[in-house]
Amino acid sequence: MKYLLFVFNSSVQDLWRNKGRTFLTSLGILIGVLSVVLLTAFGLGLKRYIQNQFDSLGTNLVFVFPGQVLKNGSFSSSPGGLQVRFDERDLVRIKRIKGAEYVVPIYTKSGDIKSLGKTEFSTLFLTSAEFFPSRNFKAQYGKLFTDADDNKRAKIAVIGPKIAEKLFGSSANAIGKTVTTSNIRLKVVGVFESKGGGGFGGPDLDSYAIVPYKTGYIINTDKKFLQMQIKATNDKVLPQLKVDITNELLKRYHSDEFSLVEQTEIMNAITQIFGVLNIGLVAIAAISLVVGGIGIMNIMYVTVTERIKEIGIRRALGARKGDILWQFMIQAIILSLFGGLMGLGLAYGITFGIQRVFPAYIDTNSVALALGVSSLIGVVFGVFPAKKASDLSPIEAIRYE
Amino acid sequence: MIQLKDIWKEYKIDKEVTFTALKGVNVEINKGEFTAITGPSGSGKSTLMQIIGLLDKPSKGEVFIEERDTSKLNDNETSRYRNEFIGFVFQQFNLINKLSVLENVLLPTIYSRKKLDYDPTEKAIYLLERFGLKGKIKSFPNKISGGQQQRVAIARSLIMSPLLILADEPTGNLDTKSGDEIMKLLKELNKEEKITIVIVTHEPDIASQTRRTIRVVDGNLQK
Repeated sequence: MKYLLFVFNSSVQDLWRNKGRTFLTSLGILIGVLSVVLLTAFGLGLKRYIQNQFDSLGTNLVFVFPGQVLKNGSFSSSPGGLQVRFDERDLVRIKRIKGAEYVVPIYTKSGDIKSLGKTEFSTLFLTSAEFFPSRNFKAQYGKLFTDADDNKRAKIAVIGPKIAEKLFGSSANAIGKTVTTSNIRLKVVGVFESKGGGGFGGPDLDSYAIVPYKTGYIINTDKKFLQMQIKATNDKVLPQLKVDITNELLKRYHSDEFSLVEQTEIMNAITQIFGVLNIGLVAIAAISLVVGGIGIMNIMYVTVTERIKEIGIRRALGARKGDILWQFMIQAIILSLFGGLMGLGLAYGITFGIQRVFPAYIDTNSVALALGVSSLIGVVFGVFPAKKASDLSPIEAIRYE
Repeated sequence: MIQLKDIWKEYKIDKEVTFTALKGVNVEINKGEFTAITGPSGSGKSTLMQIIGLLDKPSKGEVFIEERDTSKLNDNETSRYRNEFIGFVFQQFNLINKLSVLENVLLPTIYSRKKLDYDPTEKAIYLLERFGLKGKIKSFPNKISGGQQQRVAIARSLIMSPLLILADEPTGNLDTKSGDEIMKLLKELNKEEKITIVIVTHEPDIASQTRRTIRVVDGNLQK
C-alpha cells in the first residue's frame, strides 16, 4: 500500500513536471473518448427521438402498405408491387371487421403551398375525418373537418402550426384564410396542436396541410390510396384484427402485394438500423482511441529511454522488475485515464450545449465503455515500454548516459 | 560473510571475440573489514565489484552471501539481497534528481519487503544530520555540492543496515578536500559502527587508508 501510494504520487509528480507533454499525450485519448462518447450520444439521441415520435403516433395502430415493406423484421430493400394502391372498397370492407375502430385512407403529395404572395413547402395530406381521433390530433384554433365536410368535398384544410406561422405569422391568424396548393384553393378552417418533430428525417407533421380525401380526388384522380391506417379498439384484438384484415385483402390482392405493419414492427426495424449504425460509428471513433494509445506508447518509450539511468539506480537499490513495470504502467494508466476523463467532461459539455437543438443523450454504458477502453489502452500500450524498462540489466542501465 | 569462489566473467565483444575480465578469482570478505580493491583501469576490479554487489552474474563460479549461494537466486531474490544486504556508493553519486535528499535516502526502504524494526524516516533524518546535512533534507540533489551529494549517497547506503557497503571510486568525482571528508566518514563508520566496507579505487593514496588491499591485474588477484 505504502509502495503503491509512493509510485502513484511520484507518477503524478512526474506528469505534473511535464505538464505540456502530459496534456499533449492525453490529447489523443481525449479526442478518442470524446468521439466515441459523442457519436454514441448522437446515435442514441436520434434513436430515442424517433422512438418518441413513434410513441406519439398513438398505440394499437396497424398500417397497410403496398408491397413487402418489412422482411424478417427489417426494411425490405426492394419492396415489390408498389403499383398496388388501395381504394374505397378496401376501406368499406375493412371497416366491417370486428375490432377496427378507425380505418383511415392516406394519400400524400409534397409541394408548395401559397397564400398572400408567400410560398412555403408543405405536404398535402389527404385523409378522412377519422384520422384526427386515431392519431390524437386536436384543434388549437378553429376546428377539424368532419365526415360531412368530406362527403361534400369541401375545399377546406386543417393546417399545422408551423406552416400557419410561416404563412400567416401566427396560428390564430390562419383561420379563414385561403391557401393554394396543387392548384386547389382551400380555406383554412383549423390549426391543429403541435405534434413536434420534423427536421431530423422524421415526418414534419406541423408543416402538413390536412385535407378531406374526397376533396383530394381533384388531384388524386384514380381515387386510390398510398396507405391505410387502422386503429384497433384495444390491444387485445390487435392480433386477430391483423389476421382478419389480411384475409380480407387476400380476396383482392396477392400476398406479396400488400403488407401489414404494426407500429412495434416499425420500431424494431428502426432499432435494428440504429444498432448497426451505432456499431459503425463507434468502430470509426475507436480508431482514434487506438491512435491515442499509440501516442501514449511513443511517449512512454521516450520516457523510458530518458530514465534508463534512474531505472538502473532503482534496480541497484533493490527495485524488482515488477516494481519498475508498475511504475511505468501506472504512469501510462494515469495518462490515459486523465485523457479519458477530460474527453468525457468535454463530451458532457458538448452534449449539454447541443441538447437544445439535437436530442443527444449520453448513457452510462458508453461512459463505462470509454473509460474502460481508455484505461485498457493505458495498460496495453504502457506494458511494452514498461517491459523494456524493467528488463534492462541494472549495471548497463546505471552506466547509461 | 561473503565468499567468491572461482569467479570467471566473460564479455562477448562480437561474434567471435570474447573478453575475459575475471579469470578464476577467489575472494573472501569478512565482517567488519575495511578493504580496497585496486588495480589499473581494465583490470577487472569494477567487474569484481559488480559481482560482489549482485549487479551482475559471473559466467562461472559462485558467490556466497552468509553461506547462501546467490547464483541460484532468481531476479526478485537477487533484488531483495541487493536491497537488504548491500549498500552502494557510486562515483557519480547516482542520486535521483527529482526526489528530495530525504526521499533519496528513503528510496531503498520503499522497495523493501522486510518489516523494518525502526522508523525509516527517523533514521534517515538522523543519518543526514549526523553527516552534516541538517539544512539540506528538503533540498534536491542538483542544488547541493558534490561532497554533500556523496554524503547523501552514503546515508542512502546505510538506511537498510546492510551487511556491506560497496563504494565504487567514491572520491573520484570530488575535489581533494571533499574526497578526504568522505574517506574520513567511511573510516569512522568502519571503526565506530563496525560496518564492513569495500572500496574500489585506482588511487594508491585511497587504498593505503584501508586495512586490506586486494589488487586485481588482468583478471587475476595479485598476491
